[in-house]
Amino acid sequence: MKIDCTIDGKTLTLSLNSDKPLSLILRENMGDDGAVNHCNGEMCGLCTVLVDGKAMLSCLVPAFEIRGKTVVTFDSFRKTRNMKDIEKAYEAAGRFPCSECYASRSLIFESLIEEGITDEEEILKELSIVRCPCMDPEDAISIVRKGIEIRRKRNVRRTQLA
Amino acid sequence: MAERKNFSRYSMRCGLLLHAKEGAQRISELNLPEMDSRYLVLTGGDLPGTNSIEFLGRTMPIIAKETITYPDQIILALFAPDYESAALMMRRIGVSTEPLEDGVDNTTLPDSLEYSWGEMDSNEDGRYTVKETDFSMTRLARHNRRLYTVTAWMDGAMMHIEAPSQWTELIRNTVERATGYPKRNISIHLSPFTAKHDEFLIDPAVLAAIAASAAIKTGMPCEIRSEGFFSRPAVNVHRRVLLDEESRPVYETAEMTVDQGAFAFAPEEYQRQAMTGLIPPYPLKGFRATVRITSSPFQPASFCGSLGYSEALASTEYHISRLAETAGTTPHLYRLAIEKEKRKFTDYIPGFELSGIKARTEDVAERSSYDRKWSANVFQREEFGLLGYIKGIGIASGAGISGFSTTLAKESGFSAMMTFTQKKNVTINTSAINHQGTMRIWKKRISDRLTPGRPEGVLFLDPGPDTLDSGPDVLSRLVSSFTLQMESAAKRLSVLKESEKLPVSLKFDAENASYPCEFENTGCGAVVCEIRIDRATMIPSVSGVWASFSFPTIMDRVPLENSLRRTIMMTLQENGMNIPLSFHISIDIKEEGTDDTIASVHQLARGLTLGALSNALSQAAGNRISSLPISAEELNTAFGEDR
Repeated sequence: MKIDCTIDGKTLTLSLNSDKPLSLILRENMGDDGAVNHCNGEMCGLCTVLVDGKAMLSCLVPAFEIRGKTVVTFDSFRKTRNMKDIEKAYEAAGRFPCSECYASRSLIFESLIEEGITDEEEILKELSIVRCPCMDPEDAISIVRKGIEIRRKRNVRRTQLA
Repeated sequence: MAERKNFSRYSMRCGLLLHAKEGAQRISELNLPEMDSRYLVLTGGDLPGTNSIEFLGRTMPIIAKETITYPDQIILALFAPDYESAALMMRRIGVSTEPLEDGVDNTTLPDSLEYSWGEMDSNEDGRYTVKETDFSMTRLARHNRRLYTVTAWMDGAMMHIEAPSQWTELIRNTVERATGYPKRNISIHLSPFTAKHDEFLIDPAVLAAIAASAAIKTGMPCEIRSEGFFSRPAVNVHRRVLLDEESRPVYETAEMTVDQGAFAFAPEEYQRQAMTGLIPPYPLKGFRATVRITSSPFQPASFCGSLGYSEALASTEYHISRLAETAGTTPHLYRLAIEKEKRKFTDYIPGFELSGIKARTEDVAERSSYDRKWSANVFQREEFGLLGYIKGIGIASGAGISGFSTTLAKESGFSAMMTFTQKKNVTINTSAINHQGTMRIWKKRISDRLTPGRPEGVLFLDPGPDTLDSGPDVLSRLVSSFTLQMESAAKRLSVLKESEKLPVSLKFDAENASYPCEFENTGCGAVVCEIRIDRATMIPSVSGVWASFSFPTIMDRVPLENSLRRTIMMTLQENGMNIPLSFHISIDIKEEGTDDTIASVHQLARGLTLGALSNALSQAAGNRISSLPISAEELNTAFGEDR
């Protein structure tokens, strides 16, 4: 089937099987081997992407689900100002995810920061999709809170300038 | 590094692997469906060269030919225009196997490694109390749910390989053996990777050999995709100790058996590292230790972040805590009572001062209120019937070791070369250039001596035909011995550049081959782990971890602390522990201020966490639990037997 979608800012019309997982579309059709994993739905959490701003496991998203939607992978997200906020939050907390889950965790943090979620349980629930044991829960919560603070300050500055 | 050639995915072949379901089988029939010219099947007999990978003097087949030695062994590779076609065609391939009656024994194992001092006492007069302990770790073998790809393509006379790898020279050697393509014409392009269990040491070389063979046969770029796999060896340590009337150990024997699976990799080095961990820090009149490597029809063990030292160190720490129980005191106080100021000098580890380890142990015991909790848990154990949980707390402390052993350094001849050029730049010829962070540190340190204030003047040469083999990148080796060797070379070169005509080069060993012992001690630490087993669910959870480390020089504290935290968390999860939401690691790192660099941080942190965890489990569950990893089902069965 033909699917219209936007991947990393490019408007595309893809011709593929309707049930092909998004992770494989990104690896095989878009050539994004590095940042996106495909674990066949085993919940490794390393295939996270943003679909309309919400962090999702791309191996569980079939092709027909992305019709008309905007998909952002870490490859393009890393160049944005929002990623700078997350990097600042990592520095402020003194904790960094390991290189394996860096992309996935950063995208989940972005989703949480953008929605302004501060509730501990909700943060940990969202983050539990990444199974990598490199970060303890307390640190993850502190990164999200710091990120929200940094994002708010940036937004306030932008409003004042406007 | 040379850029990857940009070719279209429509003009390449995509490969998938067919793995064996069981080990110790014979392939009786292989049914291949009819395929057109766009498909290519590679079996063991189809590789143009030798169907084997050679690794530190040992060999293993790349593709199973007639016999399947272990589950998940590669039976064949199928290349198709795209992965979907390859997957569909793969379903139509039929493989019939029959069990091998005699089993398979493809691997040659080294003799047991033995080490001893003093005369052993037979205790015929019953003067001493005998205490025996067992420490076990069962085999862990699973996919790491991480897909990775290896691509091979030809460009004129050059064969290009793109792969994630911890040892680029192994890829070049394996491709040369498998394809007969001259090594000088093989160029390696590294793709980014993270290897928690050193799974990118051997597998990429195997896949590269298959992809290169397919590229030669099809004349097109070939990509092969596979899932990472790791297998932790099964370990058992049995100790027998004779205690005097004050419960001090006097004579001791330790026997360690390691099952490395179907093929033994670097078994001699494993024995040396394990022996170093087995030697106890307390004084003994007589000590005898044996490390034996065995094989079984299971997946060959990957290093899993340790080459034996962590497991052996954990077993020693477990043993000390059991001796403390016999003495009726806390392990922390027992250690202070039996250990001297200095450790005995042995062939494996020098006789260093124990004050650093004692200070770390004191620190961690105080922060965690270890002695109080340990005593409370002992009393509480009898009240289990009334409480909804049981608790345990364990402690472990020890020193880290540096990189590979002196013997391996002498045997392997891993080297690198540093040149001071006419343009006053420094070039380094090494195959070990896969960590950007490490390279930044190296550049800065070399630049301080040779090109002050100009780290950009230090250049690492792209991998090419003349690249020197600097060995595998495992066990944090590259930030330990290699850094010291590089600094020493820079120091010598700074003198030579003044007296000799430029350019001047210096070739040096990647490992220090002139240590007096097999290993040097670098850094030390102590870990306390507290666990809680829920009575209703029997799920073991970690309540807290307190860690204290001391390292000679800390170049960047934040990555070091993150790395230690990661290792501790990973070790706990790998061994079946549940991590609750409130979990936090309290960590303290001290800098000694000496010139040495940090070595094998992961090995030390892993060994201490394993030791502290097994001690905590032992206090919580008594002798019911005999091995790691642990699960709620095992605990339920173990406690059920008591009811």
